[in-house]
Amino acid sequence: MTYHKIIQRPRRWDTPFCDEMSDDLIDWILSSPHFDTMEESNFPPSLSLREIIRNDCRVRQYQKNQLVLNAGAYINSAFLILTGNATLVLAPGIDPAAWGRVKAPRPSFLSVLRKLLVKNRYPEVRETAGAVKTRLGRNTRRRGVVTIPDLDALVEKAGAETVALKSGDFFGESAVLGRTEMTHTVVSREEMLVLEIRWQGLRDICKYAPDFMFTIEHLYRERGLYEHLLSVPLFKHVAKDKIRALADVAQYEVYGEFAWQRKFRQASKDAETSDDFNRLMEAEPVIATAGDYADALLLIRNGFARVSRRINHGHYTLGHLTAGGLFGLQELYDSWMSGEPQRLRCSLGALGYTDVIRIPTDWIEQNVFSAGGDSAVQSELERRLDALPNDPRQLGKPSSQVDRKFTEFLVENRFVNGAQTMMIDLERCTRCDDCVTACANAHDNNPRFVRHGPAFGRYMIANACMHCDDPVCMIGCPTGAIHRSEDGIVSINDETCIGCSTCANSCPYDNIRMVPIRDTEGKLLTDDKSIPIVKATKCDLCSTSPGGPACVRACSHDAITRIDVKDVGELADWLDR
Amino acid sequence: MRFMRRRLRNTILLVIAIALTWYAFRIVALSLHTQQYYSGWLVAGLIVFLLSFYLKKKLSVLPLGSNAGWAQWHYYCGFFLIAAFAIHVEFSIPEGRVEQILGGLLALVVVVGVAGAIINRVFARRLAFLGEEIIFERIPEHTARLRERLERELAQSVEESRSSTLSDYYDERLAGYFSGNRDVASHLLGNRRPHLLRLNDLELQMRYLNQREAAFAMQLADYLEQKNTLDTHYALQGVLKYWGLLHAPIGVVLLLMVFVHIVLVYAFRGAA
Repeated sequence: MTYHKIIQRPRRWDTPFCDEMSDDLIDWILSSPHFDTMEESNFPPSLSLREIIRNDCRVRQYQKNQLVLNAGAYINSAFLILTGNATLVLAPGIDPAAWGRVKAPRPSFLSVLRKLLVKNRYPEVRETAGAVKTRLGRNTRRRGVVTIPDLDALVEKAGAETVALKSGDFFGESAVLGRTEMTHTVVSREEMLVLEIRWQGLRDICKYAPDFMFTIEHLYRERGLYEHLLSVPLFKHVAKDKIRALADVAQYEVYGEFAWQRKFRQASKDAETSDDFNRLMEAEPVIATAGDYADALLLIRNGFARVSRRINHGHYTLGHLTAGGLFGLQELYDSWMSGEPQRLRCSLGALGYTDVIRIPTDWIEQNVFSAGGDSAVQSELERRLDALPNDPRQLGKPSSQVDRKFTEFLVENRFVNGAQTMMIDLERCTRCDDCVTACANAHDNNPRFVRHGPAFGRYMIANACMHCDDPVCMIGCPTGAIHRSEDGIVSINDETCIGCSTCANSCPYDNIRMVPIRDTEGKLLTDDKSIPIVKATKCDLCSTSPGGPACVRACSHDAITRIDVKDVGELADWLDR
Repeated sequence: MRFMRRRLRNTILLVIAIALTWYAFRIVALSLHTQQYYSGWLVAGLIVFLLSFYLKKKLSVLPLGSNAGWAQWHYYCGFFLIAAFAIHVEFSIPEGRVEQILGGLLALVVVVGVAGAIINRVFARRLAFLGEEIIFERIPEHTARLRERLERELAQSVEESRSSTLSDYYDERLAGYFSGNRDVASHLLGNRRPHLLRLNDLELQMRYLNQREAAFAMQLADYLEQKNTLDTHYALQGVLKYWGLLHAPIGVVLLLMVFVHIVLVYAFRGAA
């Protein structure tokens, strides 16, 4: 009797992005802008340009006035216009109701009850190892086509700016490379053909085509800047031409490494003593140093930064900044008021990877501080300045709502990355494992988290996917199986996961697990060398169950929560509940 | 809303509900009806509702609200049940055999439930600061590994120190302690005496050890600390895990007895 079943091991391109990439179509794409200048010989035989196009690209057709991408979406591909024109609507953009944004319906009560009653006897049962053809394609066809015929009127009503896109132009590259949500909306203005290049393909093409990489990086660094500055609340009332002028003079700086998780993972495992942690902190790239003169306002665009101060022999973490955070505003304002240059009170260091926009002092003084006549600008400035001393993310006074050492713990371990961090109050947790059982009931008889993890006093951060703002686990996935949905949930498409473990190895928090899969009789599925076929599994926030995460609902002692650690108010409320 | 304020609000609401219920059944009694028929059904309904919490816990995947919310209702309805039962028996000691069994079962289920709630709070707090979190099912594995590591080091100590004093001491006094989970009652009561006695005994043994053995003995003290922590986890988590299993079955038996009681009451209604 055999205890396993032999099947073919899934591979990267078992499930191509699209089934319809014929040789003729690939030839045509190779003759289109950007591709026509690439040297096919630069690509290795195992990763040829033709195969990347065949497997990681698809051609999508849009009719006139059809919505291509909407602001707020998380995407996993960049787009290149092959033929036709489109309009890119910059932030603040048009009303989302214009494209009839609807959330995917959650399953019904009865369907969940049925699933609970007729579940498999064995854990992680799959009918197949994957490669079920193009789920993505089916969804695309099923999804309703949205047309916005009155785009001009909507744009005028919203007062939004637009950019005309033509053949050879890219869009979506900033969102996909920065792992951030789309900030603009794209609508086709005539019949249009677009090449959608999924992230994995884009990465590989960039690796072997330097000109292409330069174009993408240039767009990523430059094009998104103006839009981002428009979305900064402090500049909300500043005229657009002045923002445009700022985009020309503001400096865009990058600190740390894009794939920061590798070093962090190893270093945090090795760190044991307080000296080790101090050394880790000192190794962080410095963005600004306490004591230096404030010469610019620093605006965090992506990533995280630590606000700290050195006191005697130790660095004290006073808080952290995330996208949209400002550093140096108070000092610049005091300097402008007093006429004397002010020194920075805290240091700012990059936590992993941080994009910073350096806004010149004179621009701030002219357009924000001096805009006393403009009451809207003045009130926004006062609001921001008032917020600073009380906001632990900014200055972290001892009177902060959250204990400073707890803040230190959250920042040090990069838990500030989590948007849905599982936090357990150990003084209330009775270790009954009802949360684990509920999770297993909701997911193939196998829990998607471990009730274990680093603890600070009575609070434990359990090993459950935090659905990070910067999901570094997505870096390197060869098939795009791990992706972020529109509502920010990081999910794994089980059908396209080939079990390569890249995501599990990339997750700095050890929150992804590789599990062997079985057939309905409980036999392990193996390849022809008898090596078990594995799949990556992680918390999906019970996105396929009504009512939200089963773990939270299952706890009878109110000991568990899923929390956005960056939201200090929410965190303080929960800690002091 | 903060914890104490919530508790105060809920307690006030409970007291008001009890007062209103008592008043309502008093009116029923004054109107020459037998209030026991009505209050009896209230008691039976409350027992069914309280037991439904355990069914809900099995169906956590379904969107039926959080178990934490249900638990709060469970606690307060439990207290309300005591009052409803007292009203039902008109604040007297039950006389009939079935009624006495019912009263006894209710008292038992209440005591077990209240004790469980206290244990949950007290033991969870004690576990929170025991150092590393240990999963209950893995404690025997951790214990076996600890013992294995310790005995390997002892063998090494014999080799390096060319003396078997420490190893003999271990065989005689500590091997049994490291072979399983011990001192459950002491750990439950928070009594560190057995652990301190062992440490003290080891300290007294130091004078018979050579310098190399003394170094190993210091490590042995660390092992004793680790074993003590494992035992504490075992005792506290064991009670937390299994205490709850008593409450629901007694409740089910109580419900069955209530059913018998209802059948008997309605069968002999004419005689009342």
